[in-house]
Amino acid sequence: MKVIVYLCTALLLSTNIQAEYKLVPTSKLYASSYISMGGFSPDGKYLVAIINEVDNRHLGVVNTTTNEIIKLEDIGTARSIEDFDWFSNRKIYLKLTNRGRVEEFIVEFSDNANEIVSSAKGIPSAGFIVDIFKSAPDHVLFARRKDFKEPSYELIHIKIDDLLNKNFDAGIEYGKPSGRVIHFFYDSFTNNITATIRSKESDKVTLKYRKLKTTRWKKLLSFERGDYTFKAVNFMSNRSIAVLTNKDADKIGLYEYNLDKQAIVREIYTHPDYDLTGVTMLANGKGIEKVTYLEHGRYTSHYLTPTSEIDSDTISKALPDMQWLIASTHEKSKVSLIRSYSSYSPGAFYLYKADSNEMTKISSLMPELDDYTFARNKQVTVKIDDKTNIEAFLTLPVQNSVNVLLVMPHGGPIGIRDHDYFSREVQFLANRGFSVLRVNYRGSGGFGKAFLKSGVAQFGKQIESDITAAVDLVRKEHTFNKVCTIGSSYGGYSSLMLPIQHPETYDCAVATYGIFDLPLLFNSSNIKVLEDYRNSTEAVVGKNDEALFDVSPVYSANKIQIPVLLIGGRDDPIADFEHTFRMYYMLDKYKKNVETLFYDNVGHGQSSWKGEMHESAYIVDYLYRVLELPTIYDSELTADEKQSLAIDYARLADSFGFESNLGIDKNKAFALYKVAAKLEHDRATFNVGTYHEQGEVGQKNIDEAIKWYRKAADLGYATAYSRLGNIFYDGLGVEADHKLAMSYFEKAQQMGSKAEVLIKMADAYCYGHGVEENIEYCFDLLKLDAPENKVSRKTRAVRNQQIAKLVLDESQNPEVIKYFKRYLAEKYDAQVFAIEKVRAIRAKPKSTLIINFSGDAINQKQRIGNKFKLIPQDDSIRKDMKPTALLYRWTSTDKQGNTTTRYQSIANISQGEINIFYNLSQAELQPAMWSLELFNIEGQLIETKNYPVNFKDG
Amino acid sequence: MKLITSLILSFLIISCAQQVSSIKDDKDTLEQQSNTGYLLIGVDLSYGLKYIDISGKKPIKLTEEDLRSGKSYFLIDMPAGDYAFKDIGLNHLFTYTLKKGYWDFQVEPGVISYVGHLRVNSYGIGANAELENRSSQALTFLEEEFPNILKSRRVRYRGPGEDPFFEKVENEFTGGL
Repeated sequence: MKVIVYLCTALLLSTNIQAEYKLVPTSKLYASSYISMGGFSPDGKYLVAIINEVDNRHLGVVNTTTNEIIKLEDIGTARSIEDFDWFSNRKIYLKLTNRGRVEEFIVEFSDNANEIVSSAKGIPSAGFIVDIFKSAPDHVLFARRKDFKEPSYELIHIKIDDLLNKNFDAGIEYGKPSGRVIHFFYDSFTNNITATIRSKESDKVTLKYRKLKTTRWKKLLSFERGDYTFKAVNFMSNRSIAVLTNKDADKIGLYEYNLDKQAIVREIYTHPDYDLTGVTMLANGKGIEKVTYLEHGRYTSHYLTPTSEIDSDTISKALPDMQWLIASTHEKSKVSLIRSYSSYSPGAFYLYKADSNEMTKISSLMPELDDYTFARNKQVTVKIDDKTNIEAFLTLPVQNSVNVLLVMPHGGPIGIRDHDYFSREVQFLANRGFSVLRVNYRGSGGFGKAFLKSGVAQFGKQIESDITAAVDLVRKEHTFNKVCTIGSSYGGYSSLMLPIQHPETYDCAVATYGIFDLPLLFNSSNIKVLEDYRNSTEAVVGKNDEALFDVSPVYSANKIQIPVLLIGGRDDPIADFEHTFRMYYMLDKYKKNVETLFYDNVGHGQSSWKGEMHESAYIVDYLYRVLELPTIYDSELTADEKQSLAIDYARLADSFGFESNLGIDKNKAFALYKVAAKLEHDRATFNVGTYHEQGEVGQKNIDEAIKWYRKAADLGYATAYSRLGNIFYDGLGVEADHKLAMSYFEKAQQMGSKAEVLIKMADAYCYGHGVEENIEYCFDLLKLDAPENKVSRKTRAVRNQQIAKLVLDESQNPEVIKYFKRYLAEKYDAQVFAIEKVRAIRAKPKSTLIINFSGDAINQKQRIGNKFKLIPQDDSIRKDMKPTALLYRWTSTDKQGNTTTRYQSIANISQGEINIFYNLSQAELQPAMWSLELFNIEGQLIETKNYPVNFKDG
Repeated sequence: MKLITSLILSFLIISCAQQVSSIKDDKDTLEQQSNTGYLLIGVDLSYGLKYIDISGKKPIKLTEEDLRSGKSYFLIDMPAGDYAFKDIGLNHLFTYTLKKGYWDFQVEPGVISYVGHLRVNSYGIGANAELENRSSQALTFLEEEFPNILKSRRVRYRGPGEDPFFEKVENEFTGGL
């Protein structure tokens, strides 16, 4: 059952609320669109929608009368959405992929009695739905895989209910053409069914088609599969079909393919960044309704067909300065879904009613950004010569400009282009005070084939010349104190070639996921040396000859005179990581100012919002540092802005402090934690204290640590109070002060710290440290049942250590020992604890540890210990061994005879056997005799085992 | 992409290659005037492998003790000549046989022949493999782990394709290697 959760009916026809300029948090900017919308239900009462939230996604609907957004079914974040569409008035088809596996559902909902109730049913996995058979309600064309040994499908016309019940006998079989059919598609307008047949023996793919109810299959076309996709979508006319292909382009786009010419004759739609994943035809078959793609793995639709029932002037007046398109129209009720967009706004969805000529807002695409002002692109035209104009976009910050121009060449370089859309990357930089220039240099897509071809083999030549012309023009009109380059892929290449060619212009460079050694493109692996691959590389880069060395940044590294930030993904399948490392190697050899971010598990750019946030925040911090700009955190900031920046810096610090995909760099982490601490980030402030206490960077300094812990405590960080408590309770580098420690513990307890605090307080009450001795209260505290304190498995382990200490520490109060022995006796079966012996049953392994001179354990796990078997006093117990427990204590005795207790705890035992091992830390890898003592719960010693830890001879 | 591997049951594989491990000590042991050289191979494995067979003048086998998941290098002294990666043993049952002509390399006398990083992503009984040129990373490895051998021997790329990176570095930083 689902409930209505969100209502947004902001009425507007000419309302334009001016948002205030402020720093935008990275987490708000680098996030998925809140809502993505599809078409109208057949009765026009609802629109289908995908609703993205931080921790979940939902299939939902929008009530077109009230604009209520209603969640129906949870989708989760792990699954990708491939498609969603209406079956009927209250049934929606939903197609997902889950780790590459397709999952299809029919979601049905009812809207009676002011409550929406929905249910989802999975479609059998033995096939896929070819078409929602709209001419016969509740019927589908289903491609069924009958034989799992043979990956081939047959076509069946079946009722949805029969399909859901796997009652295939009730369907009408339409069969298949001969051969291995891997795909069907149906065009309801022409009534053609088309089958895709893949040859078993070769890469040949053949398409055959026929009218649905005829029997003879006719050949449509065939082609050899290559390093490209070629997928027929539907008939556009009797002589042409729409195809999704990247045969002649980088991205999969939508094209018209002529059957007579057997060739692509027209590009219908391509997306700048993403391959298209699907196409929907108009219901009347007379055109394309929408194309779909995955944006950061999430489903996005782009509608292509406008309708005529629209008063464009009304909408344009209602959306001043915004671009807009008609996303969908319900013909009968003359209601349309309008999507607005612009360079300075992610846009919004509106409902337009033609009859009343009124428009209401359903929702912004990113409502969290509604309160922020973003920079507008300024279109710049650069006249290169009489025949050639170059288009560019200049984005100037709204406020707080740092007077730095960032020249951002796009990737590709051939066939790719920049757009006048909302760009998160550009807006983030502009929001932090930078101006950004993007140039559609020669070779960019969308400007005709001649323009496209004029960029081929122009690496370091015409392309950089075009960019330079744009930079010169912009610098004539605007004053900048500094100019830097920043770019990814080809843009990474250009970001270094520009300062190599024009050292006088640039002050720094940020080159990400770039190609820096052009001959390496032809020689980077045994796949990439093959003729086909080399030919495709040559078609962009030009001939593989000596001249390429002259335009490769790797071999001109000595000419780079400015600071460089290199960012690369170690799993980059496009610009192999070797390019970035080679560039780094050379810059480092020349002792240039180079900084790196080498990400593990990252390919040709970030694939998660977390990664985007990290990289963007790092780049901005880098620019501020190397350009010696007044630090952003020194300016007057609101509390929210301060917190946003603080979170960015804490995130950066974490990535070097303990997260794994950049490699640990404690110095960097420490510096970044200090910046976050300056911005009053509580956990970062605490971590600065930890670094001082543990000597992670530099010498241990307990006084500094205490100072930072107190700051973190003042910022409301509960763990800081508990850490201060520990320091003063145990006298860790300071003189013990139990009273002061207890005051910290009490504060931490009130603030809901981890339950370890209660355990320390219990220790104090049992032994009368800083408080009056109170065994009963000590015991109560050890129950760990204070609701405000967080109890975890780890905490319970700490409690066991504490209880073992209270029982085994004979130097302490005998009343305490007696009390807790009684507790253990009550908790565990006393009879079983009549056991007096244990036996080591795996004595050889791990019993002795040998360390070499460098202090590394030869035994990789660096652990000592044994498996033990309990030996009960008589056989009756042996036969019915109940769960029980032992107390144990690890000690080490050094060569001087000093014995230290290392660990003591309680081991729960079932089945009469127990593993007790100790993992030695690096600091503990010293020659010593380690001992393990085992006690029954009455505290009687029943076994001692020794483990010598020695240096290896020689 | 061309199919340059094929999966077969490993009990069909008969190998008489000599098992080898990487050189541990940074001492140049090649004899002057001898027709031997150093072979440097990088491996990058998603999972540990059973073995890698290399055919040629002196067939060798890299074994599972040295083929754990992750990145590692093999520096081996070998008779000069033409060689090729032949088989990749995924486990005790399955072996990938590498198609002839796509996995060739040379060992040149008197130098360190870096022939590439063999990257193997294996999953169940499936795998994909590629011999990747990571010359600068290999050079960094030699600088850090075998500086003495590197002082007395030149490094050359002798894997698929042609790459004068080592020569250019050598020319640029004379005496630096």
